[in-house]
Amino acid sequence: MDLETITEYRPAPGAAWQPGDAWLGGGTWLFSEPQPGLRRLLDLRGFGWAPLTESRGGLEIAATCTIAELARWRPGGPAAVAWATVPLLRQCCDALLASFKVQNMATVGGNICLALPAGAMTSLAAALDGVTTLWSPGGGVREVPVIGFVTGPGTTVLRPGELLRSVTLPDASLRGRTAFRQASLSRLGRSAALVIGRTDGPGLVITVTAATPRPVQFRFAARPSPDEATAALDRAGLDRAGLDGAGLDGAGLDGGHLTWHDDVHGAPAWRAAMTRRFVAEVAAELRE
Amino acid sequence: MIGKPLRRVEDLPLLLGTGRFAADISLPGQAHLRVVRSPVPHGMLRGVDGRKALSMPGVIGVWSAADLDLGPIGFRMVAFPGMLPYRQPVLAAERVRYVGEPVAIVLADDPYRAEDAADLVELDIESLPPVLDQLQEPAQFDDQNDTEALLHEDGYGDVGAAFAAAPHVVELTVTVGRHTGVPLECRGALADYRPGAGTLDFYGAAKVPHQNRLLLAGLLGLPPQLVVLREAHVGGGFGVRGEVYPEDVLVCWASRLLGRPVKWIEDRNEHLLAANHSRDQVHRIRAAVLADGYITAIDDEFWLDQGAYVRTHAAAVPTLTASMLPGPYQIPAYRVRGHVRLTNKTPAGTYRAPGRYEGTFARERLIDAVASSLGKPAMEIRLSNFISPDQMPYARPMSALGTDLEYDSGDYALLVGKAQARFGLAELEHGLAARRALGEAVGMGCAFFVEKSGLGPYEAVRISVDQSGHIDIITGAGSMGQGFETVITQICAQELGVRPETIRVLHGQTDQIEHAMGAFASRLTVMAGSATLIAAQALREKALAAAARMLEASPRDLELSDGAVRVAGDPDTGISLAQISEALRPDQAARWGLEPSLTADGWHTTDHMCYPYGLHIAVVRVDAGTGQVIAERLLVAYDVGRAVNPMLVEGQIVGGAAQGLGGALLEEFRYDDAGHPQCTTFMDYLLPTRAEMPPVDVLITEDAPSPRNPLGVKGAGEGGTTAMGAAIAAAIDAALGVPLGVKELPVHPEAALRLAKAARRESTSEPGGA
Repeated sequence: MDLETITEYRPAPGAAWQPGDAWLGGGTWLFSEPQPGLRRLLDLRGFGWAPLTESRGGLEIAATCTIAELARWRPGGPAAVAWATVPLLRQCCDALLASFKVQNMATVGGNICLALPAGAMTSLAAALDGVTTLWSPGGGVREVPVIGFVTGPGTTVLRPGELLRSVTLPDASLRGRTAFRQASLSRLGRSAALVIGRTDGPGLVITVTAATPRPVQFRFAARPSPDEATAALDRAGLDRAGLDGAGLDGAGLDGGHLTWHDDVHGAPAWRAAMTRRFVAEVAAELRE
Repeated sequence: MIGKPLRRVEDLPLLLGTGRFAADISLPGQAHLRVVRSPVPHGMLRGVDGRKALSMPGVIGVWSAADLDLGPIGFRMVAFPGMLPYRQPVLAAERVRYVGEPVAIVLADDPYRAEDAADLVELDIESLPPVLDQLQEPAQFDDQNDTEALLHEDGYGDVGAAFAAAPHVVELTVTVGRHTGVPLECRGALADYRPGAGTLDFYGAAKVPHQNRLLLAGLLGLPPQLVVLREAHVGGGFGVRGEVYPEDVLVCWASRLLGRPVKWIEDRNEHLLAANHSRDQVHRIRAAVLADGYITAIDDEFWLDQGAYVRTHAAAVPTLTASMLPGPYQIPAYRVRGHVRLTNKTPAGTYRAPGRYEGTFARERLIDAVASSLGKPAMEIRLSNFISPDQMPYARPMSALGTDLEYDSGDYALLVGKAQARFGLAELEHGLAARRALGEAVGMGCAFFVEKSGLGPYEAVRISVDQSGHIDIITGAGSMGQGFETVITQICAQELGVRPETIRVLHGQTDQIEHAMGAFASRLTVMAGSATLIAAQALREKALAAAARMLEASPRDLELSDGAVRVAGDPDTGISLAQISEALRPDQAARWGLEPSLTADGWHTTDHMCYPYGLHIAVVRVDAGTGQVIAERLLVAYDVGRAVNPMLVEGQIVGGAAQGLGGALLEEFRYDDAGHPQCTTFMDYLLPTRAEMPPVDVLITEDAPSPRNPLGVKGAGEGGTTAMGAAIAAAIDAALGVPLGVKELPVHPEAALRLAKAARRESTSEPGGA
């Protein structure tokens, strides 16, 4: 047991947050490595939130909804008939490198708050224009789009004591068609590049995760050609150094402030090349 | 019985869930040990503060190097005196040299408390710059030594003259990355020192219990006779498991200190940090070649990243690389220089086909380079350089693992021909060419290799039959899941004419048999198998002698079959082995002039190894868009001399092929620029799974039995791995149309993409191109 500093465990409802507290979802990451700064675990399951709630406005996914529950879910309400993106939910659940045991415990909220570049729930929620609902210790509530929620590897906009209550996927987003591309070094490995395209009325939304330290999104008023889509990627300011260093296809990048993510699951140059390829592919697939 | 695919006799307890692995063994009153490890790759150790840990409930104590009176861990094979300063201390004293190095231990009454307390031990370490590249000029190791632990030079013939006279010189630099064996079961040890008796029982031994007994007894200052090592079920070895590591010494030391049993079970994170790494060699190799492709000399210089210390294998890996690199080819002149350099990474040791996976990759890439240079098919180059059958036995004036390097038997061209026919290689290549014409990046690559096996100098077996007819075979050799018990059973059952169900194989217990070498170097079927045959023959003779007395017949008229001795031609006269065993009580045996008990010992001794060989063929597809390499088929032809159990030989080859593929495409221990390991879980250390592993077609031949043992067998433990990296590399080249494109393993997708782009550039720059 690595959590030798924990002195108290209690249900989250009614617990006044204090420094040294951690919100406990499924615990699959929290219990997996040392957490030397923690003193109390506040279990979110005490809230008893419904994991998935359909409404005319969309689908609300509780932070405590497990990956397995999301993967199993099928829409039931009248509006849900039009939700064409449902297969994407399963695709993203499968993209999360995890055994069934982990999927039965790990939560959607935990995956997003962990803010890994390859966090598949971040990919999903960002691609569908999800909006997080955050509860602050003082009782306040605020909403933050998922695309801006993750600010870098392991960092989010969460303030001390704030908790992620849920993510809402808007009805309009759920109605779009989607295209999904993912690459990893091994078939069951962590994603090195994950690109999701989604039709948005006459337009297109392309979301890049895993390859970049935080989610990056491109919105097109009209469906772009593959060349137009990759040109947008180039203009977005993604660092071209990785591409040039490897002699891969990187022409047209402007240079800028974002970089390609670098860890053992893929070299930056390869992530960049995969992203460009996938961006072009999803644009082509959804243009039809 | 020999030659039949008998189902594994050792599987029943595993299938029933009643196997007993190291973690399953506990003793009353045991304490639990946790190792405090260095979090930095290199630094001066200024202090160890265990006060916070000591304040935790259940904590028995915290100890560091200053509390120990133990020397460094010794070598068990291929030791050079100059390597002695580089042995690993049991606990780091003044300097830490890799992330994961043991610095202190915590003992507690519960494993979880021990782990928690270990987290509270504070280390004061002054960081130093790490050495991370074996190509870097040697740095300072200590006051007297630099980081080049060994420069191993070997060879024969006039290399200089050969290169001076050669019309073609082909050279290249190749690299094999750092990876290792990762058994399903991590390491574990339980030591039980009895203060009154002065005995030490060690549970969790594997691979080489008898050798480890000597090492541990020497370190602890105990008489070897009072130290008993006990092997339980072992969940895989692959060369990594079973060596003496610091943790093994520490549980013994702590048990003696406390006078109670002490247990340590390794977790996966520790295993990837602390157990032996392997491979990690850079070769600069060149060949002197005649116009017809005959290679007159090879000159190789290589650099091995040994990690932070030289462990029990000492120079086994670099000397195996050096001696086995010429492989199946004649090579009239050869020179090799191997630099064993220390860095601030986990120490390296042997892993399935140690030194040969790397050397075979270098040599077979060189063969491909020669072929490319001369515009000839690579197989033609191989065939024209093979040692021919009439040159057998073929001696090179070198040694391998302390034995003269003399290939015992082999017909390499015959194996190539059989593989071509069995696998339909011409048709296969035709089909791949058609796919390439349609735009697919598919290709086939081949690599040939010679393995070594059956390392001596001895192995012993004792067979005894009890009064019920049950047979025990006792051997000190270890079983790590490879099917050893089945093979031994088959050999004994055939010689004694008994059912396998009546046989039990007892192994890896140092108090049951005095001498043993152990399970490594693909030696068990050769060595313990031969010893079993010899022991069974002796027991058979004894049974016939006793039965002759009982039946008042001449032993020459008797035959042993179906567990009974009969007068030839008179099936009604049978007396069972059980009856013979009962009759051989001491008084009656003395009257008959026989030793009591139906028991016999068998020894097999040898000064030479035997040398199986094989051809690896890989068919791969490269996704031109992602660079990902998909192995579509792996084909292995392997001559094992004689297959005691072809099913088990095939299993060994398929498993070995998976590990060869892992090293070629996925597995790699990476470090960041500061020397911190990046692959310490299975999330980050990428093993091949069923998803990456294609079917493996195996052709086992028995065309070249070994003349060096009574069974004619050769080892099969490593032949699935040896040349797989080279074959996959050649297949990728073929798929992309880039001769000698792959020079580094593992082949990451970005490297394949780069090659694909180079190929496109090449094709468009040719005359007539776009």
